[in-house]
Amino acid sequence: MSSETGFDPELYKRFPTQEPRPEGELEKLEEVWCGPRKPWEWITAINNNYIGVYYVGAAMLFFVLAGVLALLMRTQLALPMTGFLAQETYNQIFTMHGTVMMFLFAVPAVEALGVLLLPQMLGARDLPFPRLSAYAFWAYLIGGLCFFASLFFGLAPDGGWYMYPPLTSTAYSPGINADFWLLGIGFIEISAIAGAIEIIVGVLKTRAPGMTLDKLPIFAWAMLIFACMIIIAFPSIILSTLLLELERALGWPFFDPAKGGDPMLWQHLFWFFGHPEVYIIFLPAAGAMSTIIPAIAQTKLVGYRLVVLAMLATGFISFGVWAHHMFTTGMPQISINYFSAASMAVSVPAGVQVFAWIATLAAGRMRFNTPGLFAVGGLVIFVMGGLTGVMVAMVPFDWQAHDSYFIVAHLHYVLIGGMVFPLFAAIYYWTPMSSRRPLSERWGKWIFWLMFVGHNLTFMPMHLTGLMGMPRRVYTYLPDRGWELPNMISTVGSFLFGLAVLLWMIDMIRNFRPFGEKDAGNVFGGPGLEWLPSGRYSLRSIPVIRSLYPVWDQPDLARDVPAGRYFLPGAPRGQRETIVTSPINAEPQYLQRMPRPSSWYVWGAIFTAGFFLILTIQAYAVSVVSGILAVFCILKWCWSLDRPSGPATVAVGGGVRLPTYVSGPSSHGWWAMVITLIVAGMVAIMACFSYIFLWSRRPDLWQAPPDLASLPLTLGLLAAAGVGGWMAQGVLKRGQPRSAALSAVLMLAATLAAGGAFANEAAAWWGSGLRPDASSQGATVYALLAWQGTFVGIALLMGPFAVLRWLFGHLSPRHPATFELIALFVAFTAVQGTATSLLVRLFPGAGA
Amino acid sequence: MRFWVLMTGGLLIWAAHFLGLYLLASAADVARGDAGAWNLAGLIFSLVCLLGVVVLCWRGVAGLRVPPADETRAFGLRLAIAGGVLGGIGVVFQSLVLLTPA
Repeated sequence: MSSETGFDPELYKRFPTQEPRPEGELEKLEEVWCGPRKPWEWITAINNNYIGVYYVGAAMLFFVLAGVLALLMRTQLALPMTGFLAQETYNQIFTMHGTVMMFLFAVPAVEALGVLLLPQMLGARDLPFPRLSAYAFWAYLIGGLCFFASLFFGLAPDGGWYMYPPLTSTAYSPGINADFWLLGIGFIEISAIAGAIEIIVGVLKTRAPGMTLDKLPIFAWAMLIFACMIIIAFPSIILSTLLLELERALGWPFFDPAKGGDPMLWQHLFWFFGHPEVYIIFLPAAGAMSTIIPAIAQTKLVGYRLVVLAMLATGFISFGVWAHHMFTTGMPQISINYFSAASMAVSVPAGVQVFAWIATLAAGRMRFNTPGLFAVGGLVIFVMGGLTGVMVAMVPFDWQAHDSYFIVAHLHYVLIGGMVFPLFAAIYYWTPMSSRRPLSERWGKWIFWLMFVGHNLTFMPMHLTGLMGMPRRVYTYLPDRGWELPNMISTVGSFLFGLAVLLWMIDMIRNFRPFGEKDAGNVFGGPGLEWLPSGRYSLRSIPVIRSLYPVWDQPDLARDVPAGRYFLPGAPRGQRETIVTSPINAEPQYLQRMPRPSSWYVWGAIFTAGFFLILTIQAYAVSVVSGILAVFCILKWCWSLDRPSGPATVAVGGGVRLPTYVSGPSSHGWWAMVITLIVAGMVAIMACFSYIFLWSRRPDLWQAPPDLASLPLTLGLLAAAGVGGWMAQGVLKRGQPRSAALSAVLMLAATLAAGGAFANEAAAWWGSGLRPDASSQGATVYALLAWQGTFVGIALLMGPFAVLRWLFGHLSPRHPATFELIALFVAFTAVQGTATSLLVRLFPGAGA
Repeated sequence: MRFWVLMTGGLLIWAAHFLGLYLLASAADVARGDAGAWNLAGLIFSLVCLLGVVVLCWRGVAGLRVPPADETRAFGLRLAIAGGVLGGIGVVFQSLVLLTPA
């Protein structure tokens, strides 16, 4: 094998080691990775064994809550002209059902599964940013519960989960219900992106040595693609919610046609997120299916490489289908045809996966245990949903079925078959790993059949009610249209589904009881590392991986890994640590010191959620205070980062020594910053798209940009900021006596230059007479300025932060990681500012 | 990075092709010019993308002819070829829209 990093793969031959492990090594490891001992520590816990379980539990709580809303809707629709729910309440309930299912259940649930499973699956002690996972979880839970509680005050959003303007503009939705949606999901966006960063860096950088890309578990591939999709798709919803909230709060007319706005912009931005969202949910579930099916069939997955390709292709093509939700909006015919073709094409990679699962089942010995039933049941339902998906990808059919119950049936077949059933399969499959106790097989089979029959009874008739003309989102219907019987059947089916979920909840409570025997072992004969004996520290020692199915093909692992005969058998520095490896060949690179629990990220999460939620009720002063406190907590958290101590290298077993500190592209922090900046860049790109799109709608309303004489100063200052920031880290690395002081001052100057450029640009536009509430041009220009201003604001915090680190002695040429990240951020801010300034100044230009 | 680009090259070309066609269609809509000329531009762009797919697949096949340095490299090359074929089919399928009478 050739080396990616200079690591000699021959060293792997030293493992498993043969010499006995030192006395007390395991006890020390257990002590270092100990669980909560005081009540407060259950909240500040950061280990994935805790946060992962909390996360899955919270996601399932929201699944149940949204399910209760569905039952309320089905009760209302069981008979024509019933008054069980008032019209307005019904609107709130269907909006919350969709929103909670998509934002508070589906994405967090699969992210949670990743946080829970990936460390064990990859052979890592934990994912690289456990505090980030904890922050993401608490922001999500607190914000989500408050958001849901809006229902009890009649303040829940009521414009549908896609919140189309003009229905959601202040003219038609004057209350704060829509604001709850727009601001309420802000913390979910943050949480999802934080989780995605954790998963990408975790999968690429914390794999067991030897776990090359061709030996990467299929679930980890799925999670990697899923997280990358979040990074590309979520910026679009971040931007669209910001724009609509700006229009509602400040009157900036992005979507108001009277001032050059266009509601179609919302649809483009929303569905650029919204359709990939379906695959964002589906891919991890498909990854779970591709893991569970080989285990229950006791054979290797047929076509592993093709399944990886299919998942990658799904990830790509899913970004080319967003406008198939907009076939009836009057888009140009040729554009519609492109999207129709792509919508049909996306069924090809999905089909590859389905055939791979069927082939695997056929090649092995299928065992109809509960995970197996859920996997096969999910496959059947998903295929049915996929077939109706191909139907609605055809434009003439879509024109007929659009906004009818046929679509409701289609989307539920896809989402329940593609995500809910696989999730239940995953829960039944992996619970013995997490709680050390299997769920009841007898109950599980009952639950499966109730759920399978309930699902089909609920949604199969909806195809007919849709084809008979029943529109979605109506709170009641007239008798004698032939809709009564299918609606009644749907309602009965939904309660069967609800009964299944209730039984499952009881079984889960029984399973997680704190007493009784707990030693399930590898119940289903799974082939992955997660089935090796483990503790809170994950695996006792991190094995060298030589197969895609290590537990099947390396049978000695079950003996040697718990005996500490592989990498990092203890805690050599008495701290929480894991091995960071290279992204392709998983060669050991360095030893990452992992954080211990503290409360700053919990408070940060509380104040972040508070900021968004308090903003909704228009208590602006309190909201700002909450925001400042959130920033303070996060800065406090950052202050404790990058404090290396102890020896420069440490023995990690087999005579291999690894460095304890690296910076630059090899470090996990660098990767996280790059991914964060990709998110920011995507928001800027989507904002630029919005700018050009709105110009193309009403070019007659656009005025000439400010005089170009002020542009060179802006560009010059931005160049100074970018070059200065980048040079500052170079100066630091030189290691000369005054390098630290000089670099800190240079960085401060660079951030001030970025601030100056922003001020100059803002003054130029203000001086031109253009106002943000005057036209779509004003709105988009000032939105771009505000986005850039946010980055400049953060950079202006980072400059003094760098100086403070120098003053407190935390800045040194040997430890430049934090400083490099600040430099990356400042350089990005400069590039983003340059690109957006050039766009709005030169396009469409003076002749506008 | 080169490894990742090679491995996902076919899909990247598909994405670039889709984006290109969408932008051309949008530009045609705004310009309201001769639809035939825009279609021709789309077809030329599609041919360029197809050429890219062919080059990618050829590189993959050539890389596999000499024994690859390791299994991971071979895995990446095979993925690149399969992705190239899939991307090529996608490009052709997408381009058929241009040949369909409006």
